[in-house]
This record gives sequence, C-alpha cells and structure tokens, in this order.
Amino acid sequence: MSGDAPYEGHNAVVVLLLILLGVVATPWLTVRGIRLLVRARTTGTRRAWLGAAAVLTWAALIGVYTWGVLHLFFFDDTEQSRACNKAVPTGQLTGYDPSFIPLRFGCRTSDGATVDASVIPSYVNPASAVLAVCAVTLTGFTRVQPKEEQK
Amino acid sequence: MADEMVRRAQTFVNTAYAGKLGIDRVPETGVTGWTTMFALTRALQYELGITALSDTFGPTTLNTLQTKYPRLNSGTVPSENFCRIIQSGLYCKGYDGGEIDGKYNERVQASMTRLKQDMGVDFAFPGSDLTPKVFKGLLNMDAYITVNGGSDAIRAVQRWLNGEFVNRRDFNIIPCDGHHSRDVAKSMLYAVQFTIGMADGVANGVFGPGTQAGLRDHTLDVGSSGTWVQLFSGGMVLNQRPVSFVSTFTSGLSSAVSQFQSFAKLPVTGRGDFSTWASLLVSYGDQARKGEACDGVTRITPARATALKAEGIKYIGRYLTNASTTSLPEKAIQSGELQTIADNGLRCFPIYQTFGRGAEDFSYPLGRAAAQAAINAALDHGFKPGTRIFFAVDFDALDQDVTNSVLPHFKGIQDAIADDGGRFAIGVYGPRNVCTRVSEAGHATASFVSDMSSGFSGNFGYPLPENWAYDQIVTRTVGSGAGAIEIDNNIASGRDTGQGSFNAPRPSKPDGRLADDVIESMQIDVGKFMQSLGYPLDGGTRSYQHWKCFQSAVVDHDALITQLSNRYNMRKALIQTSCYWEMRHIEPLDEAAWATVIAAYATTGEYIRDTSTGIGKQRAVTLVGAWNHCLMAGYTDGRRILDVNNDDDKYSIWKEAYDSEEFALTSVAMIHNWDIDGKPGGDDSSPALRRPSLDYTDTEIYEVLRRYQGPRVEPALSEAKKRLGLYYVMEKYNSISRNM
Repeated sequence: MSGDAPYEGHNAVVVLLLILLGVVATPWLTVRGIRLLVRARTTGTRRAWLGAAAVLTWAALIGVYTWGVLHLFFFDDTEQSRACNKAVPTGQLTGYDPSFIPLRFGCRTSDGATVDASVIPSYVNPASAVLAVCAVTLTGFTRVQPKEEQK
Repeated sequence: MADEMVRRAQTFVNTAYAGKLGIDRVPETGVTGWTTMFALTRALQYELGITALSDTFGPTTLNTLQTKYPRLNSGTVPSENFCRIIQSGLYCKGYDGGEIDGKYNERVQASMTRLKQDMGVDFAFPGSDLTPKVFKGLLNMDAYITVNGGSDAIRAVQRWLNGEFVNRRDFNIIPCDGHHSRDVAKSMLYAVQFTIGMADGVANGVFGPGTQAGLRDHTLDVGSSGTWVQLFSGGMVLNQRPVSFVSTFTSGLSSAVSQFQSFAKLPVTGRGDFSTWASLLVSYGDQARKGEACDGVTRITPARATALKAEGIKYIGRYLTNASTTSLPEKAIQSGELQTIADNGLRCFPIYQTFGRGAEDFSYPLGRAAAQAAINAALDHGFKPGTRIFFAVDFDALDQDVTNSVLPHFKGIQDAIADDGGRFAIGVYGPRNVCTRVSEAGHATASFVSDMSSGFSGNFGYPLPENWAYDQIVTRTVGSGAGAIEIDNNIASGRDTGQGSFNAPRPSKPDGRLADDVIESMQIDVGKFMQSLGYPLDGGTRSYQHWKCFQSAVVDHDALITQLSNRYNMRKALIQTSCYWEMRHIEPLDEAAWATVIAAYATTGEYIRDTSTGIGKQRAVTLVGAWNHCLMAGYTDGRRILDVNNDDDKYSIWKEAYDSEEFALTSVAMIHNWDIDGKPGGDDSSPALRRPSLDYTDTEIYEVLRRYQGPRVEPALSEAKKRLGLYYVMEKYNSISRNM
C-alpha cells in the first residue's frame, strides 16, 4: 500500500521523465519532419510525403500530450486538494484517480464515481486520440508503400 | 460455485419479468445470492398483484399470500410462472426444483416435504403444500441444514423453535444452520414471551418488564420438565455451554448450570433462576446485580470514592486520554485522582479510546499510533509496568469490520507494545464478538465486554468471551450529595484487577533537548510507523530517505526546535511532525518546479508560480500570512511585514524557506501559531483554538496538524490522522527526554 493511498497523485518521476522526453522529442521530430517534407518535394514520391506526414503527426501527438503533462508540473498537494474539492461536492471526496492514458486527474467520490478535476485542457485527450490514430495509420502506410511501388 | 439450475432460474426471472420488477437484470452467474432472491421476491409480489414492489418479503407479501394462497400445491398454484418462482427458489436453496417447467410436480412436492423437515415445521405444516411462512423462508439466504461447521445441538434448538412457534403471528422461520445469531437470539425472546402467555402483538422480542416478571415465576430445578426446560437448555446450548437440548432438568444439566453460573459470576445455585435466564437471553443479563467494578467519565473525588466503596466497588475503569475537554471535561483521569483511588483502597484499570468511532479509524498504523498514545498517557499518569490497558472498540463493528479493520488495528497495538519492551499488557473493550475475535487472534489477554449495548450486532447472539475480565451491564448513579456519581456498573471476573499503587504522575513539563540515548530508538520507531503507513525507509521514488528527513526535521536543529517549543508553549512534536511529514513528501518533480521558479525569477524578476518549497513544503502566501500574523500579534519580531501581492516579497521569503532549514522549521511554528489563531486572512475558516498549551487534547493536536495540511476538507481530514499517529511516536521520545 502506498503511503498516500487513497490520495496518491501521478507518479512524479514518470511525469518528470515524460516532460523531459516530450521537450526533447517534439522539436527533434518537428525538425526532422520538416526536413523530410523538403526532401519529399524534391523526390515527389508518395512514400516520402507519407513519411514526412507521419513524422510530423508523431511530433504533434507528443507535443500535445506533453503540453497536457506540463499542466501537472506545478500541480502539488495543495493544488490537487483544491482542484478536487472544487470538482466534488463537500464531504464526498474519497480519493484521487490519476491516469496517464487518457491523461487525467480524477477525483473519486463516495458513491464510487470519478469526476475529472479539469486540470488537463479538455482538448488534449481527444486531440491526442485523433493524432495517435493518424500517426499509426500514416506510419503503417509508409511501411507498406515500398511494396506497392515495386508492383 | 456455479450451478446450472440456478443459472436457469436467473434466466427465467430475467426473461419472464424483463422491465417489470423495477430492478436491473439479475447477473446469470449460476451463483445464488441476495440479488437473485430479491428478484424472485419481486416476481412473487408481481404475481400477487402487489403494485409497490420491494426487495423485502414483508407483512404485505405475507398477508397477501395468506389471503389468496394459504396452501399452495398442484391444484392451487395460480399460474406456471408462479410455480416457476417456487421451483427457482428451491434450486437457489439447493433443493431439487423439478425443472423450471411451471408444474408443482412430484419432485417439487418431495423437495417441499424435505425443506419443511429441515426447517423443523413438518409437524406444524404436514405434507407437501407450500405455506406463506415457508415461502418467506424459501426466498432468503438462510440455510436450513448445518453449514460452515455449525453445531448439530444448536440446529436442534433452531428446528424446535420453528416447529413450536411458527404458527404465532410474529414468529418467522429462523435459519437451522447450527449457528447462533441475532435472529435466533430474538426468536428465543419471542419463544419465552409466547410461553409466558403473551398474546400476538404483545410479544415483541424485547427483554422488558413483562418478560422479566414471567421468568421470575419460572425458576427451574432438577426434576422440572416441559417447554420451559427446553427453552432453558436451548439457551444454554446457544451460549455454547456443553449440554444437550433436553426437556427434563436433570442433575447433569444442573451441574452444567453451576459451571455457567460460576463462569459468568452469577450466584451458583445449579438452578434455572432469573439471573441465569437473563444471562442466557440478553448480553447485559440481570441488571439488578451489583458488580465489583465500574467505569465512568467523572473524576473520582474522596467523597465519590467513599460512595463507590460503600457500593462494593473495588475496580474503577478510567480513560487515559480525552479527545475533547468540552463535552466530557472529566472523562480522562484528572490530576491527583489515581492517588485518591489508591488512598481509598480502590484499584484502577486504564482504558484507551482511540481517536474516532468508526471502522475507518481502525487500521494497523492507527493501532500502532493508539498504542503509542496510550503508553505515553499511562506513563504520564503514573501507571506501573504490568498494567493492562483496555483499548476500546466503541462502535457496532460488524464481523467484516472486525476482520478488515479491528484485527489489524490490534495487531498494530500488539506490535507497538512489543516494540516498547512489553511494559504494558493489552485488553480489549468492546462488544462480545470483537473481544472474542481479538483475543482468539492473540492480540489481547482480557476482555472488557460492553454488554450494556445489547442491541449491538456484536453482542446479540454471541456468548460471553472466555477471557472476560469486566462485564458492563448497567448505568446507575450511586452515592449522594458530593459523593454522587454516575457509573457504568461492571461485573468483575477477577481476571484483571487493575492497579492499586501508582508512580508519581509525570508533570506537564516544558520540552527540553532530546536525550542522546533516545535518538536511535526514536529514528527506528518513526521509521517503523511510516513503514506501517506505506512509506518505505529508502523513500521510494521520493527525494529523501527516512534517515535524512529524521536528521533534518528532528536531530540537526533540536536546539532551535526546543527553543521554539519553549517560546510558544507548543510541544516539540508538533513542529517535528509537520516538518518530517512534509519533507518525506518532497518529490523530484517538486525540486524541478522549484528550480524553474528560481530560474524564472533570476531571468524575468517575476515569481511565476507559488509552490510548496523547503523541508516544510511551505508556500509563499502561507509564509507571508503566518509571519505577518505573528509579527502583528507580537509573537515574534525582527522582520518586516511583507506584501502578499508583491512578487519580490513573496519570492524572498519563499527562497529563504527553500535555502534554510532553520527558517523552514521556524516557519512551521509560525504557521502553527497562525492556524491556531484561526488563520485570519488565510484559506481556512476554522475557528481559533486556545493558545498553544502543553496539555493540548487529542482534538486540538489533530486540528493543528490538520490545519498545517490544508482546509477542513479531504484529504487533510484523513491525512491528519496519520500525522497524529506520527505525533504520538515523536512525543513518546520527547516525553522520555524531558522526564529524564
């Protein structure tokens, strides 16, 4: 049992690592995507266009998710308590329910429900979901494209 | 275990009554449970034309059945679905339902005959017809065969009660599972009342004056026979005495009665007299008895001691601590009181009531904390090693509460007492079931049984614990004038006799420096307590290990903490606890956030975000508010008033708390002062407490610790209970040091 149960927030080490990863990966992927885009204009192959689009989509996905995680950066014990007591009627808070996928800080209530504390901007999870589907699809297309071109 | 026919019964009720019963579909698991029984009950009510459906098979259902279908059989079952309900009930009870084909067939009839035999009502309701009360018994979770190691003797009593009294209006068929229970105990009282001659509607299952008068007229002796003897021997069987269920009062029964009377400290007569009847039927027994022990919430003065002695009282139970000084100001042992007790030849047994009155206040770490608090208080009052402290479980703990909360709590008590060197023995104060289970688990050596609460689930239907020391039976007032005192009178078994002499009480001294030779033990104890809460010694993913936090929050700045404690008249443990607790909660993410705040201020001159910093995890707004308050109140000086809206002011004090452990620790004392004064201008609307005092009550200590964590909402409320436990551990060693 964790010492903070049931009021345990997101694992701080994971949050820190995600932020570090996101802060490095987002600009790196963006620069790489732009370079691939320039190269695609030169080669003009569908595979090159798809590759550039895939990398840029991954950059956007990681960027949006990292933006969401950044909202947890200053989210200390006081902020957690404040957010949940604002989201849940007085006397009904029984614990926290943090989640990385989807990215959310939930507040558990006495009737077993979980209420979102609205810490993460509401567009982060839908945008991340759409971008994730696009990124995986584009990456998939990029992988199968060489075979099609050989035919 | 899943049963195919039970699953078919569940499918039947879902299909035949979809959307008609006002409940969700029953999970088709093949496992019998209340959900299925409730659904079948609702289905029956639907078939009977009852409009307001309910999970309860109550008087309306029973009376409607009685009116419309007093005897159900193959000729009277009104519809196939009606019959399927019966067949489903049989399968759910473990009997053959003859398929669920809507026919009251031969297999159903055979099962019904067997069911009534198992219930013991085959003579009252002969044949294979289904009668309303048997139907009620069919649609609940009671077992009519011995289950889970039930006793055949108890089952014989249960079947006899059913058979003998089932035709009385208010008597419902009880389980015949071989286990004593609340329902069985209640049915015994009904049976006694019926046998006395009370009419339906008069008999109510309560051990009132009429019942008591009736029993006084029925003292049994060797040679007596009939229903009264059956009731009496049944009572003996239910109280787990080694007798047979008989209808004649033999010498063997008389001998067993003598043994029971001796065990329960009743007059040993070998007869079924009123006192014995009462002890068999209700937990408090004969309340006219005068016990040799008492407990109370009032100071024992010389006049009261004289009055108690005149009443035959020898042992007095008194509380070690008091959570509140307002509602019961003399609940805890008062100054000089133990000496008064000793001077009058009386003895005292200490009781410790934990902070709170519900299952949520019982757990392993809270048990450790309770033991520590009790040890501290016992030593403060002057109780000598060897004293048995009775730890209270002052709520109606259900069996699962005992398993999940109370037993771990007492394991915590046992471990903490052992870690203390086993100076004190452990007793348990609570309902019968709590006492028995805690003692059987090896966590207590004697029981103080709260038998006066006869309606508690943990008393009704449970025998007196084998290791009972005090049996609380009645509240009464003894003495008169200055000697008048209200007590809970307890029968004493002699297993515990309290203490008749005491050390001098430890005075409420100011704290001094920690003694060198307690520091190592204190560090180990604090670490153990934190581990019991789930905080590993190595800190886990947090920034600091236990030893480092202990060093910074307790050892390194002991001179400063002592000075703050003396200056503000607050226990050192308040400062140590808040600081240690906060430091244990510093995470790498916090440190990254602080570095960001510092870098931002260095580059932009703006205090970009208020965040809890330093070993006391203090925010700028809190630091400014607390210091300003203390400066204006004259609690401190030498600093200027800061502007909470000025970034430079906020950053400067925030950075000071970040940089300096001494400043952070001093700020803990300032924040406590601010919180104690009601935190004017802050985010907590809690009222002011009395100024810091060395004799703060548990409630006041809790409030100070809670206010440091945050406003009066969760998680501050529950987390402060953990802090309170840590406070007791810290206080133990501070107390040792100041009393050296």
